[in-house]
Amino acid sequence: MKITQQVSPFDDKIVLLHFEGDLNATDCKQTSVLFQEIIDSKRYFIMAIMEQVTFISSPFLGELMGCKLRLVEKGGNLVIVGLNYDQREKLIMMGADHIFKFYPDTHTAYNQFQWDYNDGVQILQLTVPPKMHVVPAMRRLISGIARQKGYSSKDAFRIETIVDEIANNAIEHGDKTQADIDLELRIGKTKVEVLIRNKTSTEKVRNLENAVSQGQQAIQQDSTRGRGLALVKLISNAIDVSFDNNGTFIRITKNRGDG
Amino acid sequence: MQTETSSSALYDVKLPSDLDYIPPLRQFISEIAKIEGFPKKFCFRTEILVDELCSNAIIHGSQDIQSRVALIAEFVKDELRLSVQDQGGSQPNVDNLKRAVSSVKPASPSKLGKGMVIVQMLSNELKLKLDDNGKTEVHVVRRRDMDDSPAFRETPIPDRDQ
Repeated sequence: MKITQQVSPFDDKIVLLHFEGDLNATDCKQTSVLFQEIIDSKRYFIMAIMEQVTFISSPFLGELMGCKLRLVEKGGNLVIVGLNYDQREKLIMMGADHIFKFYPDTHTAYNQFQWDYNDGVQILQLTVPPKMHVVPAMRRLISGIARQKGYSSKDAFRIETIVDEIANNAIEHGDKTQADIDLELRIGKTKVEVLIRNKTSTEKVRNLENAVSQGQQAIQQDSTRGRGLALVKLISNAIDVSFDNNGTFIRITKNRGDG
Repeated sequence: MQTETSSSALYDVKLPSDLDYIPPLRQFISEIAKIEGFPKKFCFRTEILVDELCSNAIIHGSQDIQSRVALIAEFVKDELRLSVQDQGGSQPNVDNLKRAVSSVKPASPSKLGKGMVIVQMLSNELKLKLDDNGKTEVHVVRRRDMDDSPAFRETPIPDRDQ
């Protein structure tokens, strides 16, 4: 076994351990000592880079489990990166996938680290033509991303409803000459923000602001219209409407697992 | 945003360099192609194309945590112009991509490098642009009638060891 360590160039809380060759029972002690040195240096997040690993023995796997436990006790974690298909299959057969997370590359592991520990927010920007029939695809894209990022089906469905309503509004009430509408999704571990910008008249912005401020009351009126935003208000946590020379800007916040 | 003609439709997506985004994104582009009037087979094959191009951009592009990938899909009459841009990968990865774009042979004899062969098979035009800032852009044109052409049907799948 050959093992080299490196502090991550992207985040000094993370240590990259590059393993090479066969990881045998005789390598356990050296590995344990190395992990303890890293823990003593107050770094508790370790990525074990195993692209060059050809074999992992059961005792060594047990040692890695012990090392992971020591890191978890300190609030950190140990993940395995780049392990080849055959070795990964063997570890999965031993049930190691219940203990370790496997990532294909360091980039994906960093993304997950940012998401789990740094309250990272990821941003998707979408510009589409203002056509009504594009909206179903848009809403499914956004809810699909929410599901991929671990949001429940209920949350994803509500996010889909929000996108559907505000995108439809942006197209229906927007300026007929607008070339496109812009939607931005800001997704984090605890909440989602959906922002949409379109061009519209001042009068329609006032109507929109009224609809947002009335909320529930709008449903009780006899009018057959205006229920959509009231519904959005019911299933979201915050709505902001603003207006400038570039058009109308709506920001809707939906907390994860809320209601 | 500029559109070339009144009959063209342009969809612009900028996403984090994260594989989680690919399944919903490829479905989105496929659904949009259907909306724009393209047949089911075209949409399905476009989905494969988007998957390959975006996976390449994420896996072999910039490894910076903040890196992003941009996808532009423009539907003009009977063709789809697809462009996927990443913020540039390592020199070996860029060299592999150049080789893959200029040849029908896989870029390397390993299991990697087959994706661009699929991209070539599913597109009428394939171009690679590298700018001075290291950004990599793969531009693909796919015409409506491509899937029905005899040439496409008869295109052999290259041997893995070639």
